[in-house]
Amino acid sequence: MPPKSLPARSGPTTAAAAVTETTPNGPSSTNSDEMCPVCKTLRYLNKDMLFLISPECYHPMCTVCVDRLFETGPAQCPYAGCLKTLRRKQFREAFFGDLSIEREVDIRRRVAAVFNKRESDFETLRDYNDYLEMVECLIFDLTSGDEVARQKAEGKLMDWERQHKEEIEAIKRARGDEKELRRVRMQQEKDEERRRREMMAKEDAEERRQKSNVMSELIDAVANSGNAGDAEREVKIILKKRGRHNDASAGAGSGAPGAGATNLSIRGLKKATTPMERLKARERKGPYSPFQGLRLAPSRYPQLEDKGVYHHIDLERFMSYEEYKVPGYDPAEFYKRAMFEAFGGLGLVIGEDEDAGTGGRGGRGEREEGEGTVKSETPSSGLVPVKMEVE
Amino acid sequence: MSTTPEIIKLLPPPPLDPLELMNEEEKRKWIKGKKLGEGTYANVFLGHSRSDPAVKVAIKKIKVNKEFTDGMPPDAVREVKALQELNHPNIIRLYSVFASKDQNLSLVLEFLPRGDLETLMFDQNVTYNAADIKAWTAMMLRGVWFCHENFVLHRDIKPNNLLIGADGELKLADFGLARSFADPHQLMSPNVITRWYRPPELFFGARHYSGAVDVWSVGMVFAQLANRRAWITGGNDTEMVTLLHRELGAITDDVWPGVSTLPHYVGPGPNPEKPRDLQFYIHNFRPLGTEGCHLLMQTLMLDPKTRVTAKQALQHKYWFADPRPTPTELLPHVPDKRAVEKMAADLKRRPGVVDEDRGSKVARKLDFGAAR
Repeated sequence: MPPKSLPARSGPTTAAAAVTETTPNGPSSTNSDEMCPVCKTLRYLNKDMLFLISPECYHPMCTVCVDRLFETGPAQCPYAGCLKTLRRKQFREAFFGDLSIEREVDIRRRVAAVFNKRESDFETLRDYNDYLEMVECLIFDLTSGDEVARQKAEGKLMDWERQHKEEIEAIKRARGDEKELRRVRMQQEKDEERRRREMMAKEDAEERRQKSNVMSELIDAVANSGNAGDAEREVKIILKKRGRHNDASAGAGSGAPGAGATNLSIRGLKKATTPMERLKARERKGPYSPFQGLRLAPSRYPQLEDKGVYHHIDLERFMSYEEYKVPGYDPAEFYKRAMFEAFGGLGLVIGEDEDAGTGGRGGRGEREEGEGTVKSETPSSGLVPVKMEVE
Repeated sequence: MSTTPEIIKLLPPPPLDPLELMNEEEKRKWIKGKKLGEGTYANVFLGHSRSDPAVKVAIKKIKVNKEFTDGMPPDAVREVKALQELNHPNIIRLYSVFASKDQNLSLVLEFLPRGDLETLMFDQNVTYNAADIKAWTAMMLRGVWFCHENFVLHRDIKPNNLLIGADGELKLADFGLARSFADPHQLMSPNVITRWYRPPELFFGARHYSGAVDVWSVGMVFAQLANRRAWITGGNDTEMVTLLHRELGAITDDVWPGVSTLPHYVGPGPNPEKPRDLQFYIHNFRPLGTEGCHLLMQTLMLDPKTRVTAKQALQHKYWFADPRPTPTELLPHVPDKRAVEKMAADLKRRPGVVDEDRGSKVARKLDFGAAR
């Protein structure tokens, strides 16, 4: 015979029935958290006694019993008449003290996962209410119906789940997204809040700092103006300190040669040279080149300065006017530019000439010349007059 | 630009605007660093290349201008137009141009950490000699010569537009007033070049002039280098003309045929000075030596037709006489920190004015509306 204190009766074979019956009228309910119904250990002996349940039958037992009974694998529930096979993994703490509530909440959770529609999914409120009623009936059958009703309800739930699997999944996913979104938004708000707080704290600190600065300046000013003797003494102290510092550095300096005598050496350093030495090394060759070897004379078309003959009626007319002649408008400049623009870019193959893009002075044949060449172009007299004749 | 074909190749098909993409591409190449200076006209930032952080640049971000709401400020356009054509050791390099989000134009310019010629001349701690003057003037002339060979008139040569690079190389900067040589029928504005360095033909309202205007400015800077102070420093245009008559000898039809026909010509007054000869220059600009004074005289000829061109000036025998010009790396320079500040100040300045700090309360005399 099962012990008297066991809540389970011999009649109901299912856990659900067992719990519903036992908890309300449990004469041992006062004992239930004082003594393990399986091993009869008292809380008095084991202070940290903890009761676990399995969602299969909701029969509570202490952790020691769970470990002892299910250590070797699945076994039958130790309650008399309960034929459920339990596994150690399933056991958990009950959230509610009343195990019937615990069970109902579990069932509701399971049903809600299947019947997961919302009011917005229905045409009218009436339809939604009908739906809710249907779901509530189902839950009632599951929680407190008799064996037949419970079986039927279970069957209905299974069928519904099988038939509407995809729909249920879709709704679940949408809910998940919403939840995620909400979570992110919450997080953002929290961050924002934190930032604001930090900023305010910073501002406060700044304000305080400024205030204290002003105060200290004020104090300094008062101190300085008040007593010249103090200031003098202060200066003396500073001087003394500095003097000692100088002494210390001098000592370090005198010690340096000894330290430098170590055979530590770094190879590959550049030789230190003054610009003057570098210059001497480069040795001055040839005379100074005012143009720095750059020659910009056109090489591919004749220079008008050399030929000096070009007929331009308009320009001749302009150059006969005083306002052109007197301030020195230079027809040579105009000719030069006209020629450059006429020939510029000719003989230039884009792609062959890398400088084409940057220089943009194709026709001129710009080139560097050695300093010797520049020397030859140097005139002996100061000036080379521009020869410009117009026929 | 040589990069264009590559960028176009990289483009994915349509929906992206190729121009915007190119701009982004260009912008991505540079990283803007700390601000070096802020002016009314532009902000200057230190920057470096994304691909090679060792390549330092000055990024000049031109401010949105209230006067020119319907386009870019003409100064900026001039600068970009001139500089993108010029690549020479004595001319500041323009590496890149891009627009930022707020439609501001950014010019990526060479970083020149050693200040300008003006700080150098006025810095009491810096001493320099005839060889240094020769080196600087040669570099300045080379820059001007290169501009002229490429048909660009600088029109604002003055000591604080002559910046000095890390290697001591002098570089012509600020092309905000530059333009290309005009065709005969085009008019040019006489309201260019900072006053002390402006040649007489511009004071007299010439509208057709030549590269000789830049050469005059070079001459003035040359003279200033010799004596460490600007030579002719008139407070306004009238005073300048009076001073020119007095310092350089009366400007009359005798020395400059037809000068009296110029629109704003003003005569020399009751006791005209006689024309200056070589002795005058030798007396006043002793550090330059006889040859140097000869060159100075040639660059400051009143009649632009008889003034030397930049090329001719570079062929002058002054360069071959002793002393030999100092190698660039040995030239004296001011401490680096001050120099960087000065460079930033120079870059952010509006072209054509003497000194922003001094003249900040004075209305601008120069009218760029007429300058085309």
